[in-house]
Amino acid sequence: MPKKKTASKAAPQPAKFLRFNAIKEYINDNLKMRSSDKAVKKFIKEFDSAIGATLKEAKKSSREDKRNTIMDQDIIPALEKHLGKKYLTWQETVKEIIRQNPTDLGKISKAVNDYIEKGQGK
Amino acid sequence: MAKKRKPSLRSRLRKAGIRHYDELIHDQPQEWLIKNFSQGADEYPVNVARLMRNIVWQTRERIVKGEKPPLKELLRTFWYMYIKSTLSRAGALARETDQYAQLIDNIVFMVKEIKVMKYKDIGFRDDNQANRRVGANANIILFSEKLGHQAFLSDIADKYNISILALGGQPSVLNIEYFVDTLKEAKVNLQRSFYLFSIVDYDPSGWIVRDAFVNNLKFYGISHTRVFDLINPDMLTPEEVMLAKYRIKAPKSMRTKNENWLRQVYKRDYQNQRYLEKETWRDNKLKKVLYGLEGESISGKRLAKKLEEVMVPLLGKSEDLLKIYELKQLDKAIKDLMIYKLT
Repeated sequence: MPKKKTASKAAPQPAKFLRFNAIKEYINDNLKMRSSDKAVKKFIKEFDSAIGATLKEAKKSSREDKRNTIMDQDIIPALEKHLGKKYLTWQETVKEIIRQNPTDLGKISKAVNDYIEKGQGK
Repeated sequence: MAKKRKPSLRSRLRKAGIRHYDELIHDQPQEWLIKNFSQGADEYPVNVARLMRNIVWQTRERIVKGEKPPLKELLRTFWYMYIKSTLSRAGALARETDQYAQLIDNIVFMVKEIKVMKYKDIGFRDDNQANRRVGANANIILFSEKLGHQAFLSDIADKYNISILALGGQPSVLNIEYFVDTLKEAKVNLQRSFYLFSIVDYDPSGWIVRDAFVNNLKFYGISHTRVFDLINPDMLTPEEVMLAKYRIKAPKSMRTKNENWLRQVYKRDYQNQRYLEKETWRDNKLKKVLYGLEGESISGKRLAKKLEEVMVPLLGKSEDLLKIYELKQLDKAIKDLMIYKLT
């Protein structure tokens, strides 16, 4: 009996949306700055990952709606979730605070105290 | 997301121009040295950096293989024993450049950048061993830029059983590697929270030393840190600030460093910072003159009082207790914020 083909175990490579040279050139030509390769690669990695996650989220949303087309109603909440999020719900805020380690909690307290002091100094 | 794989040891060594030699490099005649290390040479007959790295690497190789006992010497002694004489024989000994500093930079490169070795592999002796101690409260570290504060650090360590370290003017990767090794030997969890109390000059160079110390700790696995700057203008009265301040040098080479430092200073909102800045007209341009404070400008008594206030509540606490303590502090800060907003 012929052996069944097994799927490759290698993890799928993350999609590459942004081009290294495009970012480098933009920084050079428009921002008139130099940039380290390491910084640009880090930037690209983060954005590629965010774009991939956003598109997956949008796909999930459109599939749930039994559509084969990604539309505004899919992409807007996906963008909000992965890229545009500015405000946390209070539950998320609490979760975020509780998970901090003691030194970071101390930094939050200090930031609050500094804010008050700055306001009082006005 | 898949983690980027670190290049192999072989490829990191190759990239740095390091390889195995059967011959003892430091014993070889000039012709051999030039033949093997002239690639990439410009000012001298040999590529100095490459030669230094290969001697260091060969020494490590021999020690790791057991062909040679660990060095147990200072870096400075290693320089005299193996490097200086070889550079001289190769006709590459500089008259003006500090090649000992170049050796240190190359070893730092091998340890921190390409990560091919540790100082302890060779067994370098820590010239700063006498100026550091790990206490029972190991995660509380009081450190100073200068050795002059050593006596004060020791007094505080005796009183509170904390860790101390006097850096001796400049940050050393070797010092920190050995300091962290001592922490590991004491079974301290490096993942826990570390509170750092710093006594460094209130100026760009002092803060560079402090940041290098924190970065080196991070490199050796201590990344959850919070730094308390004990030397700051709010530790003095305005009159004392005016008496203690000194002008920070501002040559072209320091301009960016000074600007970065000032940006960091502004984030901290020190009330008395305004006494450390003056605007003056020079060459028809309004220029800002910056002043700093030396670590010594604040008395030991005052530093001890501050430590009692901010450090003592952290002593003897497990990670869970520290978290509870910090949450209580945060609760208090939020209540203060509510009162501030309401009034």
